[in-house]
Amino acid sequence: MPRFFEHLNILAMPTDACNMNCAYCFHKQHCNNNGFMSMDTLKQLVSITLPFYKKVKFLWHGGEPMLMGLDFYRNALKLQKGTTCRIENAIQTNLTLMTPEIAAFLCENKFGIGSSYDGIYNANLRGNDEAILRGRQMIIEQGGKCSFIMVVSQYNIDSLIDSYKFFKEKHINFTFNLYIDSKDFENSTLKLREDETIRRIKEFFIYWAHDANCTIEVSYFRRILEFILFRKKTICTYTSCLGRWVGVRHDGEIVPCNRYFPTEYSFGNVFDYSNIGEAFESEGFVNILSKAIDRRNKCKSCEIYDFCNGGCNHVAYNENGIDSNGGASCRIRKEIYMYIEDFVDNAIASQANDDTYNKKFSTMLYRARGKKNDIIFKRTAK
Amino acid sequence: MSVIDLYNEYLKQSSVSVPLSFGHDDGRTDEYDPAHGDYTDFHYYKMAHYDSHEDSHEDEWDYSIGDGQHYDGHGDEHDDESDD
Repeated sequence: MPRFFEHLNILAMPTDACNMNCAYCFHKQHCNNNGFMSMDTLKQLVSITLPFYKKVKFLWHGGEPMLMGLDFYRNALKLQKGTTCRIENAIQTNLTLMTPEIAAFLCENKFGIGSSYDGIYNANLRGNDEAILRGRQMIIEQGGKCSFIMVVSQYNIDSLIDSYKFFKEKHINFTFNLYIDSKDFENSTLKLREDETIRRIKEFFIYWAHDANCTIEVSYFRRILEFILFRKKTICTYTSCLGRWVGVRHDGEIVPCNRYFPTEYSFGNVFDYSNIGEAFESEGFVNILSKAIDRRNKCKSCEIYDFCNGGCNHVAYNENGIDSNGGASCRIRKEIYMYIEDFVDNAIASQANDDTYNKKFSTMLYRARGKKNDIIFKRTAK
Repeated sequence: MSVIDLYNEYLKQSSVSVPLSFGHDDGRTDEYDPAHGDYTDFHYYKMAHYDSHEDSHEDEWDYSIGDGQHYDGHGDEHDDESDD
């Protein structure tokens, strides 16, 4: 029975329903069923996972997961008790349904909380500006944290620096994710133009790297820098997600993650199994695994393969197919990575005063130098 | 080819292992603490000692998700902490 690791991440999608209507939502294109996860389904999910792992993380997604109501999560916590399995919960919510009671519950139970906000163009792309920021404030008042994801599309690509200033003014950490056109639903308003995207992100990086007043995290850059300096990476898109991540839909269907994949990549249903390891023997799992291997074989000669390891299956699916590479996101990632790598090499080689960089970056440089780790030696020797 | 063999082939394609990362400490900081001569954050301490050898311990606990629009992550304060 395959249980490839002692830990498992579950992207639980207890409902597809959502009270928002974001311009770039891919979920509504494919998952327009407004069903809600039943207690039986939740119990079954718990019973086929927790006994077989040392660690399980539930990442509650949707739709809007708070549409399930607080009692659903109270019951989830009850079901999670009485096991030796170490459990974490996190939730990705649009925050519009947040109340002080919900905020207190989430914080008391140590839920990781994340949301999205599209910078200075949020009103045009997501809406509900005030409700989102108010919801976040409730989390903060309960002692919690909540950072944002900004989806960057052609609509707001010119706002990266201004949006950074917006987030900085509000002391909100954020990252930005690049819009990916759905394979079946092209959107010419949102679809990124590669050259402009690369140029804008480079401009933003330079601005951020030299911003002496930087007080917030921009995770997009941090992830690249951490890999360059420390060979560290954690994000699913750049590591081997298959076998340690699964998505579970409201009806119990097990899927590769929270994003849309056609049924040929379905791993079955929680009610099909007594141990979720059986799902890793399913035809759907073998289908996606085989194609991911094919794609990685094609990627191996790329200069940044060690960094991205072939990238995300869902992005590949929407670009040239899961078994292929070379889409727009590939080129953008590669150019940005190599640009930042050159920047880091120059910073290391110049031995310049790190005060010329923002504190986040200079701290990482200092740290890397101080430890005299092999990576710095290798980079200095380049 | 069995699923296990296929999966091993998949893992072998990952040239860099990453540290186990589970849980998070919301008090994480990357501030340098001169009193301790090191960074106060365990995560940074750990990753600085990370040795990128072989695939065999590609045992990462990844729970940050990224790229693409919509619900693509759960807040970036939670994607990189390690306390194991």
